Amino acid sequence: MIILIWIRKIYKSLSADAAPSAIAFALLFGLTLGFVPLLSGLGLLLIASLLVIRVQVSTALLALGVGKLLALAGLSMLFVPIGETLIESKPLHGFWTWFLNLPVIALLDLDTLAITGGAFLGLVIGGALFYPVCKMVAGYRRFVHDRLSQNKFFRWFTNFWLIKGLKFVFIGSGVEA
Amino acid sequence: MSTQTASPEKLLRDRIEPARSKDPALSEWIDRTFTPPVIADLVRHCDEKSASARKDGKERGSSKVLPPLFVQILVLPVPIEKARERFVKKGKYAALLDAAASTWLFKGSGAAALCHLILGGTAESPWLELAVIPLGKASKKVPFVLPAGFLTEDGEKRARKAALAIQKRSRALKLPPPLSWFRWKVVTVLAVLFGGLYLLGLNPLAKHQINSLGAGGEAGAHFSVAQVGLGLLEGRSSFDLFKLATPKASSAAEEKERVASADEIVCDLGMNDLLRKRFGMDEVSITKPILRLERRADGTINVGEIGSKEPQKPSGKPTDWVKSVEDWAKKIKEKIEERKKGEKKPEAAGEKGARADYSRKATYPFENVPGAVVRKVMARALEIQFDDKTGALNPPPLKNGTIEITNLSDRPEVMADPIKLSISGDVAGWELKDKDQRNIEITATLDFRKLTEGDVVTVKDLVQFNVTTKNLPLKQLVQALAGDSLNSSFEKGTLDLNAEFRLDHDALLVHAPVAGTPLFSLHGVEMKAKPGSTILGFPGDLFAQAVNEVGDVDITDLEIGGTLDKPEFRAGESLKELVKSGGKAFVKKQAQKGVDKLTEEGQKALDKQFKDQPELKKGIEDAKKNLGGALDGLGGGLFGKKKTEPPPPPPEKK
Repeated sequence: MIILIWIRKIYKSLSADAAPSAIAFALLFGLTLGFVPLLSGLGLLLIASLLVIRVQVSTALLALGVGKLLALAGLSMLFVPIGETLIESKPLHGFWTWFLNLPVIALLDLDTLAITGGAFLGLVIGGALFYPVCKMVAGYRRFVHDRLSQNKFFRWFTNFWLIKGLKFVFIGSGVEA
Repeated sequence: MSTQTASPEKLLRDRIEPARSKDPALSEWIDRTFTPPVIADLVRHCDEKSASARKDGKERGSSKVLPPLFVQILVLPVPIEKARERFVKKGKYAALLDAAASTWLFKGSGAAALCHLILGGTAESPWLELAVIPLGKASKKVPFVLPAGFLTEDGEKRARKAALAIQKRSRALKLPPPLSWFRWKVVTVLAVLFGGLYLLGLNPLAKHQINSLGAGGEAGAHFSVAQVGLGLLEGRSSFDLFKLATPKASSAAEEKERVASADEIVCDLGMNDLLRKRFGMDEVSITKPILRLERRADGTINVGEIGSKEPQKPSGKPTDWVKSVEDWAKKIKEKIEERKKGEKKPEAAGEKGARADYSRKATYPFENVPGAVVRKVMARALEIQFDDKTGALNPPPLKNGTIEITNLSDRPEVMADPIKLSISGDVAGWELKDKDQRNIEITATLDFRKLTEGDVVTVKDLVQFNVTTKNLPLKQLVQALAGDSLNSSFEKGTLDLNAEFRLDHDALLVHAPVAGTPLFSLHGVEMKAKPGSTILGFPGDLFAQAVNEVGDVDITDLEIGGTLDKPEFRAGESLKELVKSGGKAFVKKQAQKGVDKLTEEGQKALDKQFKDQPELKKGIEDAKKNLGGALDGLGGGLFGKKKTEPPPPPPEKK
């Protein structure tokens, strides 16, 4: 049931009146969270931010799941080398010494190489996907609204009771494709 | 206005062209926006929509982004008169504009203009009404609407108002205002939850948790508090009536097993440190702490059971307090070493299956930062009670104690200032008459700082104690606490100590802080040395015999140097003389010194008295001459120094 609710929310977030940038932000948050341990300082801050800041929670959860899967699939091997390159780089020693001792920042466990590496990778991937996701969401909406919903075959097909039932189960009522 | 022209392109151009004449800027914008390809797209779209609507004769709406336009088309396959009626009956045109501008497609389109078309009529007699609302940068300079010809006066006003609102929204920043970034409902719920917990429930909850943790003794001790005030916002926490007992304490035997108690403990938390992931306390103040040290019949001490779940095992026959404390310290050291050995490498934080190594951390940013700092610890009205169950003499309690420690840290080498310590207190029953003075006063500086000046790094390693004791009972306190550990036993007497103990790196120096003043003084001492022992570098029995004979002795010319492992006693002549002569010569010399001093003082006093009476002084001088050696026999001239004859050299031993 949770998965069904989640699928419905994803569909609604894609089809509803949310700004594409909010969805892209959610992806950024979710991916970053997926690349750091949930119980680390940074992980807890991101979870709190998801609750408090207006980002698409369902999209963020999806991105979190994808991020964790990617990490398990081997992307996590890059976390330490990236973190090491960033933190152990001599010219940046002064910056990190100042930055990692700042109030609140010091609580984020960024001194752990893998966490800094993971967060950086999440930000880079999420940042790189930001604009394409905005465009993709807008494009999807245009396609569904302009093309698909006007398509005769689609209309005919979706009039079947089985399809209506499936649509109700996975998408829920009150949402028009 | 309706038109009889069949071509939608012509209809469209007819609607746009009149706007050109109004403003040259508008004309330029129209040319830039409604380019031939855009017009062609628009016309094609109109044809598609009107064709399907005219087939079934039904009203139809459609939205589409035709860059740079957002186009909303409403197809009404009826004559224009009927369309006017429709708007009167079914709703206002302004509402239609609003609806178009509220769709997600419009919001995400980034269009330069909203183009609202109403297509009507038949294929033979079509009509077209058009509204163009320029958006974004263009929205300020050009007229925003080309009014639909079939609107009533009131309807047109409403439409202009709606269009103005759409333009205003399009001029606003793309990012929503910062206040709308947050889910205020969630923030409010969380604030209410935490606020309620903080104001109503946090203190009782903390008290309950502390007391339930301390009640069972699983934490290695029994402890309880009567009241908790977790002033986290002010950074000030207080604990009232704190009690600490050994793990074997039950409610009945709580008093018996009590180790420590305090009326109040107040901790000023260093919030800035806590936010920087450091344990920081600006001040810890303890009011009326009482430490109860009990030495059991088997020689173990109650403090040794704190932190341990198993009862202490005695290490042999009970000796003295010092030995018991040494045993305890040894066990603590062993435990720490065991724990260090048993410590496993931390696993990746909750990332089962992940291959990243979460144990690798950058350490250099925290090289010069302490992990824990307590800037000041203060304890007032401290009392240490001793309870000896071995049958040995029970030491008197130490009372009115004051402790102040500053700059305490886990990494003293990076602190700006050295650790300072000051302890003072009275021995119950032996208090000094002067209420401002204490039996024991200790000040200390522990300096382990690493000072860097340019490229020069100075590593300090200094431990300096200044210990002053007055009227310290040798038998009741020193003998009772460290009897078996000393090379002698005391029957009576008191000790005054004024020593500076200095350990700079490995170099040891113990001396009197002011040259010429006694390092320590013994008063009314009766002591016995252990057979074969040495005291201050002298044979124990000789030293004891000498001291017993003297009774009161000031040791001025003794200095201890060398290292802590190999101390070097540098005794002066007077101490050597004391021991060699078995005290007699020392007594004599001391007595001579006393008489000399008395004589000097007497002479001064007389001089002062006789200053205004020269005749009387002369008489006395004469009498002195006459009496001559008679006065010398008393041990020294009353009116002046007389050198004593050096003692005859001892006969040479063959």
